Amino acid sequence: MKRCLPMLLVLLLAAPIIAQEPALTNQPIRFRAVDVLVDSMGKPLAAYQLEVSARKGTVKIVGIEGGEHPAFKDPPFYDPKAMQHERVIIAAFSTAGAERLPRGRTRVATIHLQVTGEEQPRYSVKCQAAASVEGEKIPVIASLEERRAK
Amino acid sequence: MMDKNSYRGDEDLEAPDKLVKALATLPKERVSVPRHVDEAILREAREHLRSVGQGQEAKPPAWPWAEMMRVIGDFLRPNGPRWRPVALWSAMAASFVLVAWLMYNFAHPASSHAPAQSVEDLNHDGKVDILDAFCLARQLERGGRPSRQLDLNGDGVVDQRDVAIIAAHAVSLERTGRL
Repeated sequence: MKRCLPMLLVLLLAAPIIAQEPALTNQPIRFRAVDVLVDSMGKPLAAYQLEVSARKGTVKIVGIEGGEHPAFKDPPFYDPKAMQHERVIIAAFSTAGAERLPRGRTRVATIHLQVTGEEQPRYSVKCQAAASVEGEKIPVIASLEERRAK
Repeated sequence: MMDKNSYRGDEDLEAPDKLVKALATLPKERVSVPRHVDEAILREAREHLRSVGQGQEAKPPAWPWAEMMRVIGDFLRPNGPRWRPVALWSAMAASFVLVAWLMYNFAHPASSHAPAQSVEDLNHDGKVDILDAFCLARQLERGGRPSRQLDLNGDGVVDQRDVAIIAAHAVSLERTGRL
């Protein structure tokens, strides 16, 4: 009996973990791509820094790619620790001339996400900094658009 | 070995007659000490203690910490000086202030409420962000000679690698306090 007690205790402690396992695997997992857009309102956009996060749902960032305009084609700077989390700060700049920078609304990056569960995630974006060619700060409108699942 | 408390058969447990008689002759009434004798003894004792105390005060303390320990000892003594409650409350108040100050400093690290004085803050706006990396990149592209302090990786030159270090700091999630 004394030998069985520790075993029983271990089983009791592990029970919640064992019970949770099927629940996690039963959750539907899907992948989503969210476009990050910046509207520089007519001024040439030379640099930006944005904070993107998911406010609802179980979301993990799995990849970040660059934007559509040649000036921001490369993936932006981001902290690799953001991978597998729901929040990231992305930033990029271009030293190209004003004529080779995007003006108006442009996609600066795309964030790929893994969404677990039925809950529809909600995202938020906050502009931390944006500048034009000479480094002068400019007001911009940042927004997110989830791509339609094919 | 025999136990000291064990009973041996040849022992006589009866008290000797002489002792029994002596105990019987003890006075039955309570012995009382006259009050004036009591007071005289107390007076003598006080005078003696006073002279001993004065003798100790005349001696300089051998070590400052020894004197300090004596003061602490007096303080902790159950019948300590009258200022003991005041000192206790003062110590408690000081502890409270110290704890409050420590908690405030832990909750508000210097970086969050003081403007950044970092060498990486090239545009002097009080924070390190992508605009500082952009600023250094423009300087380099125009052939400028940035401050040697901006050799952040210590390789002897200020170049794009240092720009990348500033950018990495700008997007670091640890700097903003949470992942």
